[in-house]
Amino acid sequence: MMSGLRAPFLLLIVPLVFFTAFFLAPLATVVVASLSASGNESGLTLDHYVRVLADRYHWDVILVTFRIGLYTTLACLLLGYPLAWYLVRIVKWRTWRRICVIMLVVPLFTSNIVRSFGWMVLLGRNGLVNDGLMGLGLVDRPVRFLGTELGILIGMVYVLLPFVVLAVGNALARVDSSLEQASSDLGARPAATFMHVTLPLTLPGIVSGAIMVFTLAVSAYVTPALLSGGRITVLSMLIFQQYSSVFDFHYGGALSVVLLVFTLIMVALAARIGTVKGSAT
Amino acid sequence: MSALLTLDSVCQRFGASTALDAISLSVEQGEFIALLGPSGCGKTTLLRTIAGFLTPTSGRILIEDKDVSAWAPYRRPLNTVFQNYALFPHLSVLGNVMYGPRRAGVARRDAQAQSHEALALVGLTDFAARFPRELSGGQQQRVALARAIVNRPKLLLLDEPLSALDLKLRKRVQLELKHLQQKLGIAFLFVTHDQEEAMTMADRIVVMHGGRIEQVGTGTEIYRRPASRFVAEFIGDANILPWSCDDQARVTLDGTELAMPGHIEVPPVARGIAVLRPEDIHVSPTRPHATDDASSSPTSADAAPDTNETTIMGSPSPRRDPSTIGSSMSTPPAAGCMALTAVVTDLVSIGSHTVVHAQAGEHKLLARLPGLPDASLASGQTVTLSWRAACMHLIGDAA
Repeated sequence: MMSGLRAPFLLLIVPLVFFTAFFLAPLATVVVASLSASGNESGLTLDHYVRVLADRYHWDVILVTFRIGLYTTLACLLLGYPLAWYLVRIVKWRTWRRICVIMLVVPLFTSNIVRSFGWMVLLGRNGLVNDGLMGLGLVDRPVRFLGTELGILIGMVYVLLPFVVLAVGNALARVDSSLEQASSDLGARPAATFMHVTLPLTLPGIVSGAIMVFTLAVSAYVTPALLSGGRITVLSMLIFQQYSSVFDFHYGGALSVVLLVFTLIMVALAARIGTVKGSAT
Repeated sequence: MSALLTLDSVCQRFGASTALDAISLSVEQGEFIALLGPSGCGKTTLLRTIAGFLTPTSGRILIEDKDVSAWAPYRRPLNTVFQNYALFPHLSVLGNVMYGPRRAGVARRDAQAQSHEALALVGLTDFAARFPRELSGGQQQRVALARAIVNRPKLLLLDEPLSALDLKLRKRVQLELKHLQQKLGIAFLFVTHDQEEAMTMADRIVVMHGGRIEQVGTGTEIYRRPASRFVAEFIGDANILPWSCDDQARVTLDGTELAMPGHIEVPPVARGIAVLRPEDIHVSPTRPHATDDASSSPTSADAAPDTNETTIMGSPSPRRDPSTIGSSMSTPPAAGCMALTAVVTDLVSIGSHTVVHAQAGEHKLLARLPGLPDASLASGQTVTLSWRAACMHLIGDAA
């Protein structure tokens, strides 16, 4: 009698405790710190938020952060969708498909720092990319990648591409092939079938992949920090500064909450697109 | 006028296995054809080949004399109703039906009008705004049909569209579909494994087996004159008895000479099988002392079917020779009738009719009697099975 209730209770308590201890508690700490007065004064205050939002510099950083996040997401989708298509639709040989998926996922097992340093080497003035571009005669002098948004973008896309490929690939694999045949049967050319059937049906996969990439991109620290060369600042770098060198937990907390709120707004918008169109699936 | 669809020895091979073996068939304008066969006989493969989802390994597919064998599905002037309906889940019912006209470049307003018309034809006027997942199986089937006929194709391919419906609904839809087909004048090519469904709807039935066409004919033709043992056994129930023909052209059925009525066709081979349908067999109890009573006339119990038979045949009532016990054939003196003594093994009543399972020596026979079983019939009883020889259909052994 008791065991019937105890088993699910025990199963629930573990994740519940984990979630509270490692997610809710730190978040609450950050939120409380962002709202409490600094120094010796006590009480709640919105001063830190005013300080964040009243400063144009912060808006610039927010803009850069979300621009990089958006471009990263778009680039990941544009590269990831065809790649997912290739893996799911074109590769017939299972072993090769497995090898491709492994190649795609293995970088995720390596440290972000190592991968970003790798890109620093590749994208440097005398790096492989510039050598290649000059060798092909596409550019006359080395392109400056490091310390530009483009450099950060390249590094981010490399890190985050697998998320889109896996999400879209999963959605593509689940599209009933008879629907595409029905489309063709009803007179739709391949391009029309893609636009009117395949794309709408994979939209939930696109949206979930995009949300993952976007949230990871706007909150990324290591890649932008290493590839920016100190010339570009994103919000996570600002937050890191406040926590690690300035030790202003109130101000840092307010910055974190701002990032969180902006990200949630973007995710909510994206999820809306996903459910409005994807509700039919 | 040339045929609408012509298949010219179409072959479909997947690796070493042959799914379609030299299929030749022609479909006329406005015809209702059923492709009938057990699962794996190649009927769906044939349909998919005609639709263009598969390219034939060899052979040609002609639509109104144009060779479309290499055409992509979207170029072919035909539409398909898929087995699982394949409705677009992200589009409303109206959106689904409009899909074809829109891809054909019809303006939105006109496409809407056409789609509403098609939905009205299948009785779904009020469902235009719903989504497929909100519909029952029967309604989804209608949407699939509307989505196909809105394009006014010359040929509609239907891949077991009724198999997901329950029996009652299926029977109703079969007739509705038949009426709709006659009204629209579109040729239907209907794949089914259900012989009753094929019989109900089709003008002609194409019986397929092992990637080949076994027989093409009307329902009556394939039922009364099956071309092969497979067809005989696949279409309804069949009693199969061996026959052979000696050099004097005398046909013997299971060792007994067959009195040949004029209109029974004998294939020009030495042996084969005779097909006898269960409803053609009359069952009459053999009296316990019949063995001694060699010249007994039919008892009153079996007088009724015999009288009946007399009227149909216009020939004298058959007299039985009950002296033969067990399985041996007895040639009835009356021309054109045959009888066999057998033991009833099972008696199954299905209300509308009664199925008698009888064992006559090595042969198991089935007889179907209308209505409930006669009180005089019982399991284990020795009975006389009789039938008009003309009811038999002889098939020659290919070997």
